Amino acid sequence: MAATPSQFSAIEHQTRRASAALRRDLTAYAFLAPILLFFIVFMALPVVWLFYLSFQNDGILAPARFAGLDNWRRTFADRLVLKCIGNTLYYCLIAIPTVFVLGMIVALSLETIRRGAAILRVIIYFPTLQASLIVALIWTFMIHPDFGLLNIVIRAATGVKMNFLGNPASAMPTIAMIEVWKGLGFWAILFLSGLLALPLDLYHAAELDGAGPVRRFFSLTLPLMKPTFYFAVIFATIVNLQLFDSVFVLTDGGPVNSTATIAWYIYRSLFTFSDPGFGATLSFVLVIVVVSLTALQSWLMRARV
Amino acid sequence: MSAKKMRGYSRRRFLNLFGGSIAVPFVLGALSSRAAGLAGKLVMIKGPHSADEAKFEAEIIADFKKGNPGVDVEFTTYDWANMNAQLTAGFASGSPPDVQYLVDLIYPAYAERGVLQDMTTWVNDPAWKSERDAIAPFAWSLAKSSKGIWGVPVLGAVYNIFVNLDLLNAAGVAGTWQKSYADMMAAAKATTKGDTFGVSLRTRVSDFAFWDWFPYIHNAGADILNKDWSGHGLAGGEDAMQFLIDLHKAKVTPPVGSVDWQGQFDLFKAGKIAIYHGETPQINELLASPPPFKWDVAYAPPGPKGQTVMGNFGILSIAAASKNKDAAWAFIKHWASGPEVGRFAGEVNLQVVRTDIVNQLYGDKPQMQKIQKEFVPRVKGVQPHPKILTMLQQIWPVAEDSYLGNLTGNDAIAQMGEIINRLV
Repeated sequence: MAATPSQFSAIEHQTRRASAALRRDLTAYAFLAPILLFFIVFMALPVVWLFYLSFQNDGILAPARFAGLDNWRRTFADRLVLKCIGNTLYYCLIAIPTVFVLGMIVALSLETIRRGAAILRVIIYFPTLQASLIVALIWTFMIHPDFGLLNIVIRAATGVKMNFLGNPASAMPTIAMIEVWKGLGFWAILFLSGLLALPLDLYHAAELDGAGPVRRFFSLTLPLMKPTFYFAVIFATIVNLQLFDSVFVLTDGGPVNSTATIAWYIYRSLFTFSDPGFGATLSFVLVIVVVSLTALQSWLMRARV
Repeated sequence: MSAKKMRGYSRRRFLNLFGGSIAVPFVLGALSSRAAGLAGKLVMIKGPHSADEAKFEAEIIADFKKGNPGVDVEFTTYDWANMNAQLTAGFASGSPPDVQYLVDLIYPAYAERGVLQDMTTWVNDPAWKSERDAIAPFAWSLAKSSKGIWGVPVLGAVYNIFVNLDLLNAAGVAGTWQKSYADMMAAAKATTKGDTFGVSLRTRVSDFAFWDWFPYIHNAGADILNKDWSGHGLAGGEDAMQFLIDLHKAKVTPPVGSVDWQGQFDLFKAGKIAIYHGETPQINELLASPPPFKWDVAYAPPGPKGQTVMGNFGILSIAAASKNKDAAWAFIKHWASGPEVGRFAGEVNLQVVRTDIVNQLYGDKPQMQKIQKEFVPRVKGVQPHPKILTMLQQIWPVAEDSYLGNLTGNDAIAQMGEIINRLV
């Protein structure tokens, strides 16, 4: 039976709609293709390859040999792995809250400054642009026990010569301090962008209701900044768990492994100890730690944002 | 050529003639190189022993080119602190540098993984016998394993002590400090005043601190591994370890970790350290910019089992993946020849392992002559185990901990032994 004109037009309409949707999807995939390809080649495949390598010995200079669960067993038995995880978390606990508090203070100050704000923002952001090696050199001269500026000031005030990087108790906090100095500009500008996007009418209303600056900060600014903090906490955790540059340049994991981090141990295993299987296993451990912490933070914060 | 005449040639004929005229010189050049024996390109990689390393290598390469005009040699460097990472990346790429200068700390790991060429056939070539015999047997023993010969030994670095004679004389210990560990401690205490320290020892793993630690352990008859390399060989080193701990506890050294090796050398040059653990290339710097005091080179006091000096050695190896191994061998023979290696060693103040040129070297540098003649025969190097660098890097935090006063010599040696046994 032949289709009536109205039936024909409905079928044709449906077909056209489906074909338009398909074209739209294909266009979207075409635009996504480069980044998808990048993701697969440089991120997904290496992770899969790492997982494969974690069950092998060698695999870089010599052909891979199946090692079963040996590398995983070694990972859990190696006291240095636990120390590295502990050191990395310790560093994150010092560095992230410190840089957030300082970043917020700087952002609030920058928000209120009217004259020269642009120049100040550039100056504050400047350390973030420096290479880790340059930052390490600057701070080596700042904290040097004999002629470091910071040490000269401390010695003048207290008579004590601080051995910042040579003392296991102060080495990691010192590295955290250097990283905070380097990262402060980034976080300050990020928080400033969040502050500038807050709705002013709420502040005017609160002011009319008699809320002072402190009340406005705790009752308006902090709650409204939650989405920014949500991003910041997760991003900062992911970045800081991979601490490597400063440790590599300033202490090489010492003294007494007090600054040995997971990323540092991965590098050492892969390139100094020529133990790619173990290095790959450690890399996977880092992936697990990062994903777990990120998921936990995401779950905890999503409920509140 | 007129347009009319040009029309007489077909385009194909023109291109053939043009191409031929371009190609002929190249073909002739290639043939003449082949007639000379070797052709192609070589890449050599080496850690720098001087800021002028590239200039010194260019001299060697220029001499090589005179006899091998068809071979182009490109020189590149790795930095010592990251040599493993850079060399591993090169090997993993599949096209590593053809000729590699490798130290005894790292080459065994590469040899074990099959990325170095076994050079036994070349080294044992009767035509090269006189040259082979000119290299000291102890150096050859450091360059081979049961599976092959992995390079030609060329250079050695001795880790000597520098002493500030003015400080030692002023304290009245110049003639006695080297007699025993107790005398060294007394001298260190006598010369430590204000911001001047009696002794300095490297403490950081990134400075390869173990080079300063080794002679004391070796003098006690101990070593990283036992004789058959089945376990650690540190037993017996407890007292030596305790002595080094005591030096730090007595505060006659800069605080642990406070000053890196270069910083310690700077303090020595400024007259702030009496007994400084250094390395022979630093002699050049002291000769070029003499410090305001008299100085000399020395080695550590004798221990209960002997009197050794720490040294490590470099060999020239060929990458197994090299596509031009014959040219690489020719270049190594040239580099290791008496005139070339002698000139280079003199330029950078390193020791040679050739016995036939020792007397001709360092004529104007009495300290270097002393080191070559008195120190080198006492040298005890590292055991070339594939994991030797891993072992040293992993035990060093224990040494640091003990230098900080947290472990006794006995505890430190026991902990280090456990780590080594796990790795063997």
